Amino acid sequence: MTSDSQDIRSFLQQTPPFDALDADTLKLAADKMQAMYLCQANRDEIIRPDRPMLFLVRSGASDLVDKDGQHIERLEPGDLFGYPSLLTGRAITNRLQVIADGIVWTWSAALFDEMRRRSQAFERYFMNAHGQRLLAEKGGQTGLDWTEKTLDSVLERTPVSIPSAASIREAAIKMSEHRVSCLLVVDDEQLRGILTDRDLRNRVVAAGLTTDTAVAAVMTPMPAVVYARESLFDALTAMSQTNIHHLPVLDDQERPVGVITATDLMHQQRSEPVLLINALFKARDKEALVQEAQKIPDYLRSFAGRVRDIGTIGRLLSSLTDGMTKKLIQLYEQKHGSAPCAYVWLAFGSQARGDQTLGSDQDNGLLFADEITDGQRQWFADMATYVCDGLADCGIRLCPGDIMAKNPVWQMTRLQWREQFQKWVRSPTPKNIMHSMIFFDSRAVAGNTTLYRRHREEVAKLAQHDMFLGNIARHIGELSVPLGLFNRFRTKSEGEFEYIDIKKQAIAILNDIVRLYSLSAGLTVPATPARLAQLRGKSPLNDKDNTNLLEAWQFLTQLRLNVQMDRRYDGVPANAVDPEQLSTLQRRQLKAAFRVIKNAQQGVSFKFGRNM
Amino acid sequence: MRRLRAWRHGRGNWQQARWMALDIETNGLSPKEDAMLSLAWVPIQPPVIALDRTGYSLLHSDTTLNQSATIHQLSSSDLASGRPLKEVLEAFTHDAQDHFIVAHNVQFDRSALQAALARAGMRWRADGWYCTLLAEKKRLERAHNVLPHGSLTLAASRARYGLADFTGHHALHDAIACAELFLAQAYRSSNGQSIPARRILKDGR
Repeated sequence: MTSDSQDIRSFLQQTPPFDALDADTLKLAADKMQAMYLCQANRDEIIRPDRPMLFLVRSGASDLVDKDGQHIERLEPGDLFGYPSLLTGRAITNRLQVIADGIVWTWSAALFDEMRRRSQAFERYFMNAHGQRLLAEKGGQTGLDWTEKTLDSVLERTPVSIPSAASIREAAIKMSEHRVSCLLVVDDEQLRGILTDRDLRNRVVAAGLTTDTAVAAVMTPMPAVVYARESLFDALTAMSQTNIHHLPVLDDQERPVGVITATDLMHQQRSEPVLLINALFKARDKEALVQEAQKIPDYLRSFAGRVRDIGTIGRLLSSLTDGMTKKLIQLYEQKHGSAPCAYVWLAFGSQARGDQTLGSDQDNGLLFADEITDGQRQWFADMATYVCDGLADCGIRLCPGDIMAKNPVWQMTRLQWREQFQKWVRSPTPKNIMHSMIFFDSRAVAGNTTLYRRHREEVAKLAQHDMFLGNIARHIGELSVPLGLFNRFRTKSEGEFEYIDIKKQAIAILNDIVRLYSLSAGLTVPATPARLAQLRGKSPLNDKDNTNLLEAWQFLTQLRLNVQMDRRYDGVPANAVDPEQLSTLQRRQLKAAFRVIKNAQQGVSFKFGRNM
Repeated sequence: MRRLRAWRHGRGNWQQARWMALDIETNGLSPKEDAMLSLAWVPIQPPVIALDRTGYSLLHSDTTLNQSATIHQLSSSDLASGRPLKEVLEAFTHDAQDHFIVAHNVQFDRSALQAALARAGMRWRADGWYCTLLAEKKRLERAHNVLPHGSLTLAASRARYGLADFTGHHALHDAIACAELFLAQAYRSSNGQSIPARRILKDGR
């Protein structure tokens, strides 16, 4: 006998995704659920590896931790857990640390499946948990999204390798014996290079070399590599950035453990990003490239529906923009000859950080070797115009502030860039600070990486200047987070529309704060999560605040992408979020994220403001 | 025989014992004279509260509702469509066979139940009774000398364990609320140890 409790129903009705269930299914959920009393003493009776269930916190609070005791998330009333195991069928490995005893409501696997079958919205909520950051485990532990799998989980066999002193003939025999298309060249467990069957064609046969030649002479020395702990997505990004199809995989001791190929990535289920990147690279001319590029927004919308961590989308977009840039440079070189001297195509801002959105504009520049001549400069000026206009045709709009490689102001030698950065650092007026921040997020998209590294390290040193950092802190302190008195949202209004500019009023401030910490630590990586990872364990940012900033950043960027993907009509600012349109849970999370930013804002004025 | 079984039941681990939360709404404050209006029961198998096997019934009655109607919010037409007393009691005693009964203020619910059983011409005994109110009173008295007025209500007791608000004076809500409070008290009392049910019963007597 079951009965109908109004209390239970009304709590469920306010809790996503139960709020999306029709009356019959909601009744089913209410009738068939059970409650459990959860305390530290009985937590292991409740979460049992052999019995996956959906859990909803009704009262009390717990921390979800992984098997190594790493904190995943704080669970409070209204929060759900347990569904990753239900969805993947994998054993439960996470545990709870109970902070306050309380009641959890539970549904069996069969009921969970039945509810998902009955309601698409309910199903989608769990599949696309991307919008609900608090529901998502960090670091791709659930395995829902193939791009988040680590490389060591997909590497199937040990690498076939050969010493660098071996002959090409030995190499060819080894390749045919093992039926592989590439060999790792390894001496003393250290990777020296990579040799592919294409190298044998192009560098041996076509060049008329004898097969007695040592492998060292024809291999690609010091190839791009990925690490076993990195994700398939990282491999994909590396492949598209370098346009190569074989990547050696190293362990943390730099020992080669395998090779990942584009074909391996294709074999993983959802290979569309690979196909898309390949299509961009195969474009014969600008028209074909533009045609492929126009598919990106639609493609991303469908891809976004399938990945768990929508943060992937920002990285994917950046990496697609990188790919288009490189392709345009390559097309230009085909017509006008190769670049006449060492240079770097720089990406700034969101493209550099890897949090690009569909609305992001171009931010790029050029870095030259100091000995460049005027004639050579002209070649680059023309190339930059071609590339920037080409990117605009591909949908990456021109920068309204003219921070573009085609603007002569941002075509500079290493010395000129250094002077420019020095000027910003030495006279940190509010205007200079505001104007220069974007340039401290940079990445080399094409060209000479050694030149870039030297430039970037110089800039990092310049920036470690107390007064400059103090002024950045003051600038950050003046930015307003849209959280008012009594924890209420402060919205802007534009006609009928009340909204929060989630980029300007939140994400940008958070990026500013993290940039400040990484400037002070002399870091050179541009991505906010990567910066936070490198800042971990380093004062003056303690690990708890570090985690909070990362989670807030993930939540905000995901929310922004979600809102942009769902946008039904134009005429609304690209980064506008209307709090009224969010679920109760999202509103709560948004406030929590704003509070994190506010606290961090106060933190930086305290830590860096004193140096003034 | 029944007594022997109940005795054995009490010696077993409290988490393997059969518990059942009960709440009764009556038409007044006198459990023996006032008519029973509704009855709810909720099985407890620690740490589970079997919300999928709860029982709740309005009782058929043509008595005039008095002032208590403002509290339990039941109307005469609700009660006119209620089920016959005997049928409800049979369903309850069937589900609650060989169970320890848990209630907030056992004295009241037990008298009301016994009066109703007598009216229906039935005999039934629980394996034992646990009163969440008495357990709470004992626990608080150990800490304070004087208990402030109102500190032993179901809502106030629950609040001390951080349990969520609920809509009181609906028999089913009260029974679920009581079940939650029972688990909170029992887990605190057993402190993660496997102790016999009779030790828990002693707290609530």
